[in-house]
Amino acid sequence: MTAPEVYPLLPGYLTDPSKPLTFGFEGRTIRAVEGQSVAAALYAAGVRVFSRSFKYHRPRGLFCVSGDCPNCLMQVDGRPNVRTCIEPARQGMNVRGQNAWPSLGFDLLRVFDRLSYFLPVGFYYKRFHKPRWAWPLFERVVRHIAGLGRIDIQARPEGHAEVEHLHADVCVIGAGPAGLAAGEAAAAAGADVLLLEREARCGGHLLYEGKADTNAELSAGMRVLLETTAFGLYEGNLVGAFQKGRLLKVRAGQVIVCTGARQRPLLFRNNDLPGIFLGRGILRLARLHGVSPGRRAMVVTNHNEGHRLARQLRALGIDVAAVADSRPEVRGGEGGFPVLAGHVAVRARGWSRLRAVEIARVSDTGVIETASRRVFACDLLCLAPRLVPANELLYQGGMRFTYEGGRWVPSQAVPGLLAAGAAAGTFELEAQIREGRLRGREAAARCGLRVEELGGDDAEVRPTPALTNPQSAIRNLQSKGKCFVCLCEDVTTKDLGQAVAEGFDHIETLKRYATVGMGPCQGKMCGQTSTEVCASLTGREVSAVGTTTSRPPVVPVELAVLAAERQHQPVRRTPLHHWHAAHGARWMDAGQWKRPESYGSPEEEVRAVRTRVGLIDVSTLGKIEVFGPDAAELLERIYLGEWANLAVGRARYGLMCTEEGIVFDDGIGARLGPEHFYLTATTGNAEAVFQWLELWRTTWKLDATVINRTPALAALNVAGPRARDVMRQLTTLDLSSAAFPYPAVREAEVAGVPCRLLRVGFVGEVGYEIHGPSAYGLHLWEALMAAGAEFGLRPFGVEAQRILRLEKGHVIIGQDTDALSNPFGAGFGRMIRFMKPRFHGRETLLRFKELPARTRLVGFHIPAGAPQPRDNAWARRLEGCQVVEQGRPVGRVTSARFSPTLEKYIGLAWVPEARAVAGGEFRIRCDGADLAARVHPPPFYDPQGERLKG
Amino acid sequence: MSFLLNCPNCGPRDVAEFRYGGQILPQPPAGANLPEVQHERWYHRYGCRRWLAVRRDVRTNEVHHTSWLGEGAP
Repeated sequence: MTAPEVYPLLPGYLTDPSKPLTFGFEGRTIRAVEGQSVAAALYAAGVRVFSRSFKYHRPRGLFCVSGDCPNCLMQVDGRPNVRTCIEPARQGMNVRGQNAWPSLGFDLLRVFDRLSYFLPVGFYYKRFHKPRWAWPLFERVVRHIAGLGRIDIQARPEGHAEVEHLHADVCVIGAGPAGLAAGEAAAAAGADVLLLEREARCGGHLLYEGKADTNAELSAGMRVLLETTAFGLYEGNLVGAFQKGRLLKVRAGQVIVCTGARQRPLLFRNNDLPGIFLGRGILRLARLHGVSPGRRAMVVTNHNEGHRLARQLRALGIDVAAVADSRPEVRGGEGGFPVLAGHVAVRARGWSRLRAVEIARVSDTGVIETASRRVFACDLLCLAPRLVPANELLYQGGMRFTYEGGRWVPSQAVPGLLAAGAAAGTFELEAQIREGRLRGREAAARCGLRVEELGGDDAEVRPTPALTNPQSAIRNLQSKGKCFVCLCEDVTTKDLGQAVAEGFDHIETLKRYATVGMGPCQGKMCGQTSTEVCASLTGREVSAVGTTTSRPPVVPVELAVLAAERQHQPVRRTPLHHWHAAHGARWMDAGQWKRPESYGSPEEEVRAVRTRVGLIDVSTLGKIEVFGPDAAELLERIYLGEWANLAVGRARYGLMCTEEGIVFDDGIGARLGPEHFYLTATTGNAEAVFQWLELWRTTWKLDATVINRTPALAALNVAGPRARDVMRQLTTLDLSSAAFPYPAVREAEVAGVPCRLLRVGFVGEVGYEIHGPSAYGLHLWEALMAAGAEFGLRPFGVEAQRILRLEKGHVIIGQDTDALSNPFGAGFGRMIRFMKPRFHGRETLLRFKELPARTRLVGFHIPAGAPQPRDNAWARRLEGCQVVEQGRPVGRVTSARFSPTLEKYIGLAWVPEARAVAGGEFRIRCDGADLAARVHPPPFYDPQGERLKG
Repeated sequence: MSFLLNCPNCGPRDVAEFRYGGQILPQPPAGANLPEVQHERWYHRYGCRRWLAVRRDVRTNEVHHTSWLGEGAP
């Protein structure tokens, strides 16, 4: 292992040498400094193998050092697949390798490298199918080996991910020379500019190419967000970006993409050995992180970029063995390093790290002259091919590119979207800055700001000259050994050849079959190369082959960040929430609401309601007021039943339906005046019912007003044989059944609070729903508790209410019915008033009426075979179980409970028509066994409703 | 979907603030292809809580016109 070498750090670097830190790596302690990436610190400590490849478990070392390639993925503090080359080192973090067994340095699974004959491209479509009985065994093995990293299900994301919504006239993505120029020009014209930069400093490639002072002051009027990575450009110029633990949604009038360009791997045998770098990766390692990459480098290029790189390497103190340039006419020598014109790399030598490179001459026709092979010993091989624009965001924004003179250039204008610099195919620094400035001004002008005309040279971007020899980088397609196109998925040139031979010759099908570009880098490394290989294999032009579709996310985003918005779940609490909490409520969720499920024993609560009196908080019910001359007409058209004939002071049960004939809510409607109704809706549908009423009131232009008063009113239901006795303590209203019958509405003072009283009976006993101002909810509740003490009043929760309603056979819309339920089969037929000329769902319901209901919703009880003593957890498990006949499902159970009143297991189920007769038997499949159930027409309790109306 | 809808009350807002309320059609013709430009209802759920009439090109999500539902032709 080489001794750690750390460069003296200069301004502009990401690291702060005055702040040392340490972290753990596979049992070792690694030193780093603040700002340095995990991978850079590991490299400085002598680590060369950073990962094992996806399929063949070949050793892989640092390669791009910019978060693009898959080579440095590791587990960091339990998080799998962390790109350690851009992950800042933090004190005490725990870093481990992945996809290797037993260790990164020695991985037995590398045997797959030798078995590659048995694992051809698309092997998973071809292998393991026979013999069929062996699949379970294969599956276990494959599951163990497949995938990258291990998810630690115990790990919890640090802190909370947050979401932030930002707005700007102009959003510039990338703070390289073009982006900085664009941002400053737009800001100078008066635009509100937001500049997003993924690094901790502005400057882009200037930072590591040592070309400029990157500490330049930024103009006012420009907000710069550092360490902010844009991952997608969506409809309406919505930029998705993230910072650590934060999701940013940027809505911009104009977006200028200045994301620069990338290098990509060249093709030769063993082109994946540790020690082979993208040229820019070496510079980033040295200049951004202050780590010496190696001692002796070989540079392979097809472009002037390689010669510039060689000079940079020498400036860093690295010995340059030679520059191999595939262009035959190139000259060199003045840089102090030999230049081999017309030479390409044909093979890298070494087992787990680079030892030497074989270089050979290539003829004008692209044939490699094997006799000219020369071997150069080196520990670094720098690939410096022509840059490929990082234009994924532009593609997502609708921009298209054509391949001209060996370069991709934008081919059409898109409103709201601009590009500058290398992302737009402009590679000269001067031109990049000029283009940035122009695009910034253009963006400001598009925002309606006044921008002065520029004249002369400044008015246009000098296009980057076309390459004189836009020679394909593709050679060696038939070379021995492995020559990787796609590092993520271990796809070789041979694999692509095989896939094309099998007929997958379209770039999109080639991608799907060979999985080229489907790994963590999403084609950032291999996209251009696979296009060129495909072109070469099929004898087409690169422009005819095209590129695969770019979709968000461009870079990996943690799910915790994407889910940031979902982490904030608003919770609604009733006015009595704290009373419930103080009295031992067990909570359950009802939509956004928290409701007491029970205060201890649901069965005791049921008994209290049946024998004495109970009190439940029903404030979550939707409470909607409708008034106006057309109020009754609106309800007539929305509900299935009648409202015009409802007398003032009376209430009625109502059902409503969509146009498709699906029952979607029910509730009580009460008439407070000739033009005034008060409606309740179910907890989960309060908002939807309000919107529904508003929609049709508006559409039909009815003279009515609809107000949603749900949060403004508390609602308490006091129910049981002694309910009237309790109420008499608190109100002077005549509560006799003659004066206040079931179902009716009255307005009266209760405990000094003006309230509405609904005499209703969901639980099947004498009951009053008291609706009063939320602010007095607690007062009303406590007054009722005090008044009820002498009658044995007990608060009850939703679970007791569910048992009570089931004893009465009341249907819960959405639990006992769903969007596929025939309303007639559910027993709603008698509530539909077809004599009304129009109401929602009428036409569909008329058709339903003609259809035979195949299944019906019936009540049932279980005569024998159920657990004794009573077991409500078991009964609840029945919900959702299938009703079976001769082993086939023919229906299902929708509700089931043990009724403490009837001492029986009861429920509701959809059963075939033929079984839906009193005493009919059917079978329920539960926990793998069949159980006999007997139809029992509901209600199970008080069938005549004497207790309810008494 | 991340286009903007211009609420007559609140101004241009993210579509996520709205609830889609279906097409404004007397009766959808059976088997008819979707038109290029649809008349639709949208409800400003997280804004002024009113129903809008919207004319939108469903291929591009370009919003041509917004107004209050029930007021004037959409």
